Amino acid sequence: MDINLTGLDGALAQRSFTGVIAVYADGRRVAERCAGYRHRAHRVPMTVDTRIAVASGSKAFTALAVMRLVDDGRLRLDQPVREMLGADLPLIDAAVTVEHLLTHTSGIGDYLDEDGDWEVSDHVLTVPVHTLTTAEAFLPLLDGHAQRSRPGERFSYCNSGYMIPASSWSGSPATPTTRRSPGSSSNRPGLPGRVSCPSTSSPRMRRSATSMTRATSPTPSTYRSSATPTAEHSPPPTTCTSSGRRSWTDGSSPWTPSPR
Amino acid sequence: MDTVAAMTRPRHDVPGEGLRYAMGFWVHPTRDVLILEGYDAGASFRSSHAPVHGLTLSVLGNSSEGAWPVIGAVAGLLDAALQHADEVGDPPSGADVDRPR
Repeated sequence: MDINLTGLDGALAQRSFTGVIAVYADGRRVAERCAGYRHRAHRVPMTVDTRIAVASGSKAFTALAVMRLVDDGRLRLDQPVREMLGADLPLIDAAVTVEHLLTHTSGIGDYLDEDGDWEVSDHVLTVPVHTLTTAEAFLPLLDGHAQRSRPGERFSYCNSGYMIPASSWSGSPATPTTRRSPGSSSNRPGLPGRVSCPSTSSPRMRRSATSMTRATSPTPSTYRSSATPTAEHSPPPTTCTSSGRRSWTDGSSPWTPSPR
Repeated sequence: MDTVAAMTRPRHDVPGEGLRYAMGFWVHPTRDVLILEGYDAGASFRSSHAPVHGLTLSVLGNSSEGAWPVIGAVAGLLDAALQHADEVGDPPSGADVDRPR
């Protein structure tokens, strides 16, 4: 199984790209390419070991963490999410299940309207970023968004659907059975016993708020110092950037998108 | 393996994206290729994995838009490689496809 590396280099030569490309075959890394800067302001060249944010590329890990709970018998895919939420997020329909959330069919309102008109650099967070020190702290951001379609009715990409399990089921040694979210007077039943799935299952949004993904990191304070190098200027600490879906405006097939 | 099957089974066609969706994974429109994709301020990312061929192609960009043209080119290269593999019979019929991932 061969990939045309000449074609790869040709694509790189034509494009303005900053980042890393890696090719694996049969479990071995057979090719890697770097381009651009790992830190643009200081003109530090990109290296293959540079840590780069993958945004919603981590949704699979959130789903895997939830599936571990399912495998362990602590959750069911057909279980109503309400059983875990208790009184939190009251606008979420009682019929929404775990599986709905993970397959973007819950129909719940999203904190980031994927169908709306937005730019990747928009600011969407409704609370100061410095208050988002725990995964649970994100729950209020998910509240107040009306159900948009009936649960199970249709696919609609929904970042909140992955935020909910990550923020409310991530488990805590200090609160093994009942969890209380900041600013909430409600007790949520949570999950029986301590959840052993890694808290690194925080929801890196496919298309979501950068600062949210930072702060949902298990160690937000250190995450900043080791933050993913970015070729773009970091926003001021008190601002909140957001994003959402890429929009394909040229009629191309997104599987092989054309340059815009 | 049931968990893997549940997470990777294509459940929805998503024409607007030119992809299918499983559970946490996107799936190639016609082939058994799993896709992770992310887009954010300062991030553009796609990793495509063809389990049968033991092949993984990852493009990680540290700008919001910079990776998409390259991701598109890489998608074309992957399609070409898979098409070629079909034509030459790789992997052979009946071969053990449980390769390292």
